[in-house]
Amino acid sequence: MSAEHPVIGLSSATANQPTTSDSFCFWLAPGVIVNPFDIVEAEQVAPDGTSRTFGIVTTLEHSTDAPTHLSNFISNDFGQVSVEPNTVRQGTTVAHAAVLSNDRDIYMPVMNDRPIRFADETGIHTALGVDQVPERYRVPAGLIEMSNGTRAVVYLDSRYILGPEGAHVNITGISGLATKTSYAIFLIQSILQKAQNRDRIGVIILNVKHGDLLTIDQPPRAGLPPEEHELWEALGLTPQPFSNVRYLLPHGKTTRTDGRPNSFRVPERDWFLYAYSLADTYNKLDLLLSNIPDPWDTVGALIGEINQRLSDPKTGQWGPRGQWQNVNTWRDLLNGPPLVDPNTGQAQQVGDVRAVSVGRFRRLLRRIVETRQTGIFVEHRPRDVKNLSQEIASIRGGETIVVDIARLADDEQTLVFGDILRTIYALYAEEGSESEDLPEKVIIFVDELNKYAPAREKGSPIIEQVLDIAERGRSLGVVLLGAEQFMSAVHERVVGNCSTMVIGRSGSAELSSPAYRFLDPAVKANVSRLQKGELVISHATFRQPVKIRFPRPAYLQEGIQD
Amino acid sequence: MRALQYLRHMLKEIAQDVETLPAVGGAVEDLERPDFEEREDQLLNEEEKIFETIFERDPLAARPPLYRPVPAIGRSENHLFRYFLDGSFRSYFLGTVLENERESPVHYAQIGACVLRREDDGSVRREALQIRNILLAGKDRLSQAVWTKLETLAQQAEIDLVDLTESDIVSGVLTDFDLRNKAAGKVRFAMHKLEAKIIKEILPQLSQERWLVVDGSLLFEPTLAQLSSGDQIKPVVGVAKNFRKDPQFVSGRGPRAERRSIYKLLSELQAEHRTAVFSARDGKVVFWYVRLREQTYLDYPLMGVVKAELANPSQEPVPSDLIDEISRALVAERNVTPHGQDRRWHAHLYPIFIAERAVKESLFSREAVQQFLKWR
Repeated sequence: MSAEHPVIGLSSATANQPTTSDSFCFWLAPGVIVNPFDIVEAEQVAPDGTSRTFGIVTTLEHSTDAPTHLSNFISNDFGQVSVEPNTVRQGTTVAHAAVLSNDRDIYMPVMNDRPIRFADETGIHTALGVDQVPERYRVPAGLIEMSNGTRAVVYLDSRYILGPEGAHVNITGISGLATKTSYAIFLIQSILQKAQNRDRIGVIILNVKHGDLLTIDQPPRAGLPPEEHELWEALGLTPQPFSNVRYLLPHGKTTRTDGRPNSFRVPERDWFLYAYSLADTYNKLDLLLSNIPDPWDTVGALIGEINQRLSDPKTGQWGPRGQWQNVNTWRDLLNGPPLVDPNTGQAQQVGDVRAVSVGRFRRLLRRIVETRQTGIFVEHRPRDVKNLSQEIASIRGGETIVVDIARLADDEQTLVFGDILRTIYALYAEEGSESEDLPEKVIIFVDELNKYAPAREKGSPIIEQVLDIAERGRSLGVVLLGAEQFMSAVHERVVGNCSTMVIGRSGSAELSSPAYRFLDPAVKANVSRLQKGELVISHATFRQPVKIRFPRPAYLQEGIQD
Repeated sequence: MRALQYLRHMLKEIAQDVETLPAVGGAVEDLERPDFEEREDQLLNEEEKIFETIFERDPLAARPPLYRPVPAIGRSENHLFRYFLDGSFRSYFLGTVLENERESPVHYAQIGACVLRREDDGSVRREALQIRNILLAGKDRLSQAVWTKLETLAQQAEIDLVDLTESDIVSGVLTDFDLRNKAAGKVRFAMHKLEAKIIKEILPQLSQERWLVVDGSLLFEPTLAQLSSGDQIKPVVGVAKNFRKDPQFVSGRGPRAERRSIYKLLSELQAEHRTAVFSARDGKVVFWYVRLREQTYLDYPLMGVVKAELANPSQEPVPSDLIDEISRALVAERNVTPHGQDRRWHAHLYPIFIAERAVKESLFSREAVQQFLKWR
């Protein structure tokens, strides 16, 4: 027993609680402090000598020899609360540990009375299987900090984040101010600093709240505190803001007069406006009307009809023809033929879609693109206002595009997100795409994923789009980094395709939903107690989730630095 | 486990010379008779039944009262009791050996004694623990050849051989008609001898500020002899949770003298009070009773009372303030109790209970003994 690596307890196997291949218990020597998620090693047998079985502490319990609470009541002089016992009642704290791995692949149950020690950094890496991941695939995901002060960097295997073995990351929890977003941005930074061919990775970030992500290329005004610097360095990363960033900001109602985008804040540089004219949107009307109930597919049929009639059959591009040739703007579509009879001003039948359904379509579309719109829908897109789809399609490796949707209405947000997914999917999945200068991988980060892929909804154009990415993104190189408050509110096929789950503090009611069945009950109890800045991460190559800390992102964050 | 291996070898050797009737299913654990402690107390002081001498001196009271208040004084104020001794055993009937017309039961027992040391924070540590293996058979019931062979084998295996037919103070209480009955007493006798050995070893570490509490009576020899040497009272107190119920106590003198049975004496003993000190064996030993708990909470007036004993080398009345100090420390021991784990919890001192358990945990399990100890 060395002083640096002291024995903290001995394993304990009893008739009622035997050790197994998957778990063991150990009692703690007096004065030793152990917490859930600490990683320990138990001495284990081996053909020649010994091996080490690593376990992660899931729960701790203290028991005494009092068979009932009544015994304790009586022991305190029949309920005297101020009595100090002369002899401390015999008791011990027992830690339950879930087996992570054995350094010699021996999964015999840990024998009774075997010494238990805190694992050191090398041991933690062995426990998590990090030692099996070649250096070039390691992406720092955070820092394990154990009760004895030991720290170890947790590495994810980039093959399970960016493909081809697995892909996608889901971040969930109610952990408070900007924790999920901060972690997502930190992880993207880590990937961009450490992954192979990082200059061939493109990143698309959707800014959904405030102006949080509209300053990711600016350093914090007062710099990062020293302890945050130290955390970054411990992880082997450089605290720096993003470089090569392009901001796409929505056109607003007042943009024509003041030139300002409809955003909570305007980045210092490299920002462009985007808007949707009918010509930009005619083939995405399904996304725009994704949230509209359409049980008889009448709206869908009309959208198909419009899409077909406004396309040039030769090029597949914008090209109204026949009785649709005068439909060039939103106003034309809503108020003129062929949807409206010019003589009566009433909706009329279009193809097989009856006049009454056309009328409903007009009402819905008018509400979205005229009445309640935020200014993103324009009759004619000015030359300096970009087409979002084209901008996304021009993404290059090493570039980060931030698309601001924070001030958009829900239907508009769905259109933008769907447009991005559809564009990227088309770039990577459809034959004939120009692929020469495409990034090898594209990471798309979006918060409030549950809005676009809600659970318990059978199908909608936006869900189909998200599912396409979730299910085929691994092989295409398109990575979805989604976040939401409640994982149970996200479509199970989206969550099920994520090979990395990151969980912040969550309520016990949420944790009891089937979405969290991959977590041990003891881990769930611990998740409900996580502090701000603490996350539990489950990765495809880890046998058990681990608790990590991560540094604050090194960019100007609204509400934190301001 | 080596002891059991040796013992198994011994049994096989003996079985070649005698006919054996093995116990059904291997070794069968003997269960200790109830109230053995009480019977032992009675036996150790059989001649004395009436106690009329109040054997303490209080400079403040001309005549010490029959009852005195002794409010608890805990470890944080006066940590008097530092060491706690208890012994325990587990014995097994191995079978009966038949040699011509003679027969003898054969028992195997593990005896042990443990001293716990209590730290300032109330936690306990093991100060000493000794375990012995003993084999018991009736010497007079076997031929000299077989007994000699047993002796030789036992010596080689470092197992103590005990003659069941030899009389001693403890097993004397039991009839020797059936040696099986007597075995329990012989094992207890061996255990008391081991306790005496440990007391002797621990004595140098004791002082008037660091006392040893021994479970049971101090009247057992050679313990009493060890504690009776010199003039000073040794810092060792015997505390019995179960004691004889036949003595009578006389207080007062002349026509006003009042005789009380122990039931009456103790039923009037209030919680956190002690009785006056009485002498036994001409003052060589003094004893008194202390009520640890309110009678209200207990089923029976004698519950919650312990009997405390001190060896008194000077045979002079003992100072009342010393007895008060010991009694107050004893009352403080009522927290914690082994309630729910021992039917004598109301009078059991928790550190003594732990010491007993430390011994029990160090003994072979029943399963191990039953599997190992087979005759063939």
